[in-house]
Amino acid sequence: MHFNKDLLEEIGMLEADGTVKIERGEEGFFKFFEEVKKRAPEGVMPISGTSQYGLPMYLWYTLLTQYGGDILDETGTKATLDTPENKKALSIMMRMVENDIWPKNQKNGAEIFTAQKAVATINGVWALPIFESAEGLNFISIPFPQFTDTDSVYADSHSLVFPKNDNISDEERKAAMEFAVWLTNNSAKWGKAGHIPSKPSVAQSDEYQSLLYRKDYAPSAEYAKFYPQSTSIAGFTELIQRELAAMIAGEQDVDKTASNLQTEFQKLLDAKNK
Amino acid sequence: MKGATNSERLKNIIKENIAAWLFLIPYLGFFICFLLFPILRGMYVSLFDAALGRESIFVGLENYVTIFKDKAFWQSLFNTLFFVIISTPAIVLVGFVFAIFVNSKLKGTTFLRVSYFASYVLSMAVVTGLWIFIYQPYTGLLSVITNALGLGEIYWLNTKWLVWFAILVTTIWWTVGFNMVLFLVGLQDIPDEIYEAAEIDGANSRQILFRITIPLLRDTTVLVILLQTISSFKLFGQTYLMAGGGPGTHTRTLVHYIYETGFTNRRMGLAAAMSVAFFVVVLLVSLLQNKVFAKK
Repeated sequence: MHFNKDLLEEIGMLEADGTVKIERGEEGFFKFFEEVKKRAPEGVMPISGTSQYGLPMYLWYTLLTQYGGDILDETGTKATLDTPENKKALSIMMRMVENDIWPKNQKNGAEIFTAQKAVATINGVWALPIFESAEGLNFISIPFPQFTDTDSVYADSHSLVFPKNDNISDEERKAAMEFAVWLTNNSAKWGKAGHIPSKPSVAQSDEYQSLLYRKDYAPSAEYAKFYPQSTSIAGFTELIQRELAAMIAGEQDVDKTASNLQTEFQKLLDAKNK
Repeated sequence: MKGATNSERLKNIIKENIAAWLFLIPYLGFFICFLLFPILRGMYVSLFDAALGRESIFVGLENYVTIFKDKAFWQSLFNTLFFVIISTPAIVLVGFVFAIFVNSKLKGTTFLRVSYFASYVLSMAVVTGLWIFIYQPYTGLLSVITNALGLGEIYWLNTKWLVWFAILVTTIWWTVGFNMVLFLVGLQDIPDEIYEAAEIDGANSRQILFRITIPLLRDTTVLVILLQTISSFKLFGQTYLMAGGGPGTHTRTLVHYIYETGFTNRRMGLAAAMSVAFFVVVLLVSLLQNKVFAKK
């Protein structure tokens, strides 16, 4: 999560040490942002963030896993989305929307933030270069706030894939592995684009630690949560993004969203497991 | 003697035929390789439970049974037909009105012709990007206007039915120039003498429009309606890029659903069956139009 430092200071919500403090838990989160809303200048929203495509999904999965839920059971064949955990995650999102803390139907969350029309923004690490290049924008980045005692945050990663191929020699296979190792050992540069290196040793390196902002959120990699491995994730991504956007737009409520997700995702799983 | 001319004539015919075929072959080659073959192959694949990366299993007509029972398929077909019904008359009519307008002998019509047509040359991504900027809440062009008028935020792209209006306006702006040009050509084919004669006979401008212009533009109109219907059926980019098929699946068109089934969920057989069903629907509508517009 990223905050506009100047705006925070202007409304008197920047800590003396130049950071921002949000109490753990749902009420702590809303207490902070209700206060931001009250104090924010006219035309400035508390939180910006595009209300469709990836962003609502990142927020949702973060909340879902903080409340101990997930999308699948251990067998990987049953959807687990019509659950209290999911409804809780969805309700929190709607609490943010309905109280105008995260005003609905945004199309350009990052742009609203760089235009200094939002006190905070929810966005991935990749947005950092955009924020850094925005003229006159002073910001701070922190790990996404925690709502429960279980630390969690949505994550995905860039991966190297070795396709199965019986025709390549051991030498070639070894060369590919060496390349992969070299790449991960030298990924501090990758951090310039905002990403957190996959190797702890690289994340601790001087090269990475010397980059501004990155080290402030890099610890969240410790509890980052990936989607479970399933061949239905591509379809699920499409489904969840669509359902969340419809819910945020006010076209369907939390219960309907949860039950749609359950039925539609189960259909996708069944089609693959026939 | 007579026999000689006959064989010469025959030779000529053969020569001409060979020349004609040589000219046609490049096109036919492409047509067969990249259109006819994929269509037939698609029909074949629709009979299989086919997915990328694994072997296909023959299932007969099962895919067709599945789509027949699939509510989402019918909804996307409805969405597509809905757009065809609202957009075809609108874009044809606006194109006609523009054509009449720029065909008049007023000054500056060349500039208008160019400017009405200009948007047609833009690509889908540019057009939708531009209109998203116009429609988006909080910072969009319309948002500034509606807020100044005291109407507050209007969520053009996130509200059921309103989103169709937004997409229709975008599509009209983008494609109307093409219809305008077709109508313009049709209008310029109408000889001036007919108008002169009508004026001498004392016809007023309304009579000229309804008794001369519209009837004589019949062939052009039929062509424009047919082309417009087909292009409206193909709707995908505007709804996909501007509204993500939403809110929910409210603007998910059939092409979008086929894409999602085939490429996101990798169910190629099912997607192929949907494409065949779509082909049949478009064919039926085209045949119906042919019947309605057939020359008596």
